[in-house]
Amino acid sequence: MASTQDSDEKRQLGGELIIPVLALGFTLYYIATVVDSPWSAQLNAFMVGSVLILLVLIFFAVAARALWRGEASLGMSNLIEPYHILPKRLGFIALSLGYLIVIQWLGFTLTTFVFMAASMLLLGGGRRPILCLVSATIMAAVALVVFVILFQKRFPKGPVEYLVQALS
Amino acid sequence: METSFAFFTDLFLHSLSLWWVIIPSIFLGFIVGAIPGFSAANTIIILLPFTLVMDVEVGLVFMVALYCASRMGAGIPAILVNIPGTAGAAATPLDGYPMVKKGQGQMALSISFTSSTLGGLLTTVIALLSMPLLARVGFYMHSVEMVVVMLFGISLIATIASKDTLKGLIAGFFGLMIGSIGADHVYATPRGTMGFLELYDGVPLIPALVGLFAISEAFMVIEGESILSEHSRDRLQTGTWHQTLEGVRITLKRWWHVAWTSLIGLVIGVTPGAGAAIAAFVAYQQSRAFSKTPELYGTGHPEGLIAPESANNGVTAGTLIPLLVLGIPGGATAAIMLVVMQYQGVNTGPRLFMERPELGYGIFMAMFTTYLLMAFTILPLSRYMSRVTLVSTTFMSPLIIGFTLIGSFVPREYMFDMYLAFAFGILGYIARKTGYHVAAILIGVILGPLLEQYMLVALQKSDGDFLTLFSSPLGNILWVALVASLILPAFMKHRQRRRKSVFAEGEG
Repeated sequence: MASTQDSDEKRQLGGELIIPVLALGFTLYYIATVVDSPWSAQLNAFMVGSVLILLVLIFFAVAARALWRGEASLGMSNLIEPYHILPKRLGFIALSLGYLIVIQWLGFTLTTFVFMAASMLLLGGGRRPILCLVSATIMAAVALVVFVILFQKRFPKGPVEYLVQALS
Repeated sequence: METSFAFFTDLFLHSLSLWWVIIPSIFLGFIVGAIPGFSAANTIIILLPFTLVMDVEVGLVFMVALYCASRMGAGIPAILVNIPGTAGAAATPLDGYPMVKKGQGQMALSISFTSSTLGGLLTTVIALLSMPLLARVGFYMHSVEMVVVMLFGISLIATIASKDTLKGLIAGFFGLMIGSIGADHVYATPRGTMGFLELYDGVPLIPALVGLFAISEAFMVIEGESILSEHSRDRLQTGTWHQTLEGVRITLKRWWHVAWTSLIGLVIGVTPGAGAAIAAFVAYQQSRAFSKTPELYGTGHPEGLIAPESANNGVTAGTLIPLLVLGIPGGATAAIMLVVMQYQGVNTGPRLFMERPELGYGIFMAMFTTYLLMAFTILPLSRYMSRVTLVSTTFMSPLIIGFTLIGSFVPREYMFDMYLAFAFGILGYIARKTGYHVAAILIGVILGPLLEQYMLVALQKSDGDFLTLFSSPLGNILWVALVASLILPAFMKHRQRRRKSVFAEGEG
């Protein structure tokens, strides 16, 4: 039991390493895009990029030392916890991503309504469905009036936008 | 025309008579400021056809009032739900949001409104009295001095990341690299764009802002039924006017803090291109550096909220000075005002104050009146606005995602910006969960292109000599101030620790 507790208290470095790895990867890619460019285009790549690479390498060294001493693990639980919310969180992220993909076919207003209603039902565990649907309808209607009709922003068009266009 | 006391009194009474323009503009500006993606400049552009047909004076008063109110409005979502309405309010949630989480949302809004109002009033008066003198600041701030001002902003990264400096610096420099995406300033060589044409102009700020702050926050808050704890909910539900009045009292008690941080905003605002975001972060950093309790910053400390709010409202007066005195717009809103003035045949620059002093000084007086009227119209709303935080996360999170994704589309009308906001949201979520500060990334994204631009000019002028960064007297003074602001907190911390140990030994 004690050993389990010890391992739980270890610093979870797996999650913490994501940002430095992304930073390093992006900096190397950025440098690769300017390596043949004039010095004026390389200024930030070498001034900022070199400092960032140095910082990341220091972080890797600190992480390696902590791993070597047994003070840390490569676990990612700090990124995922609390576990009971994980299905909801993944579902919500998937719905948000779906919103961005589907909006091009269903149009702005209808996709906003579907996204709002589905997300509210998901996060609320299916409770108060009428309230969720009414809230989603109001929000989609407000978005349509403010952004499409009033400010005339060119959001992707769908059945609702075409109907409004035909009526006006 | 003589600029006597009677002249200013007349101007004040005249601007008060324009209340019918000012009050609706305040509410409109307040709403657009609170919507991420909708800046005052956007709204003024949309309403430009109306402004052009108005009398020039009424049109300018409308724009000034909307501009001031939007600056204040941007602080509301920043405090209540950790979503800055504009980049200028990006430093506001650092201490504003922790106050909300403690159930002090009403007080936080009250502090924000009072410090914004006081900061705005004070800097407007100073601008009115010292306009010719302040206008010269723009002349002295060259590329070298601007590089140091940018570095002031970057040094904040270390300040924000006081819990883990290394992680803070990685986040900040990663932000700087992201901010360096885009075509270079001289040869337009695409850099780090991953082949996306939409990134040739650089990373757009609104998707970065809403992604890092709002979308990541929406993914975080679903962990609880509400963003508030049980205790904080009770505290907010049973809150009375006392919290609002307490916020006013706290701010008035720290009048000196309001004064000097708003002056930082005024001076930075006078410098073309610097903007409210830099002013707010520099003010926050300086406030923390000279505070007796720097360890309280980031935990819901009133001074950490007063500093950025006073500073970003100080910027509003500052940006108008180069426009009116020199004819050089200091920001987007000022540029639109220039267009309106030119359309109406009004000359800006020194001739404005000779030919139409009532208009030149009148714009600042309208700003003063706007802030005065905001104190009476907006402050009482803080009690009711803070109740937004009582909404369940079941409804709050989809709303945040929906409206911020829409907000990221609005400025450029590119679907790409919505994808970008989502990508920044995922990055922000990982950063939050693993102990990297999203504000540090954002500062980097804001400062990356600016730092490069000023550095490039400085080096081009000196044929690539890096020592040029230490060649200007004002620049060197700023360097000393920068080093002092980095060393002083550590020195004061060390001294406090020594005092405590001496005290403990004495007691022992």
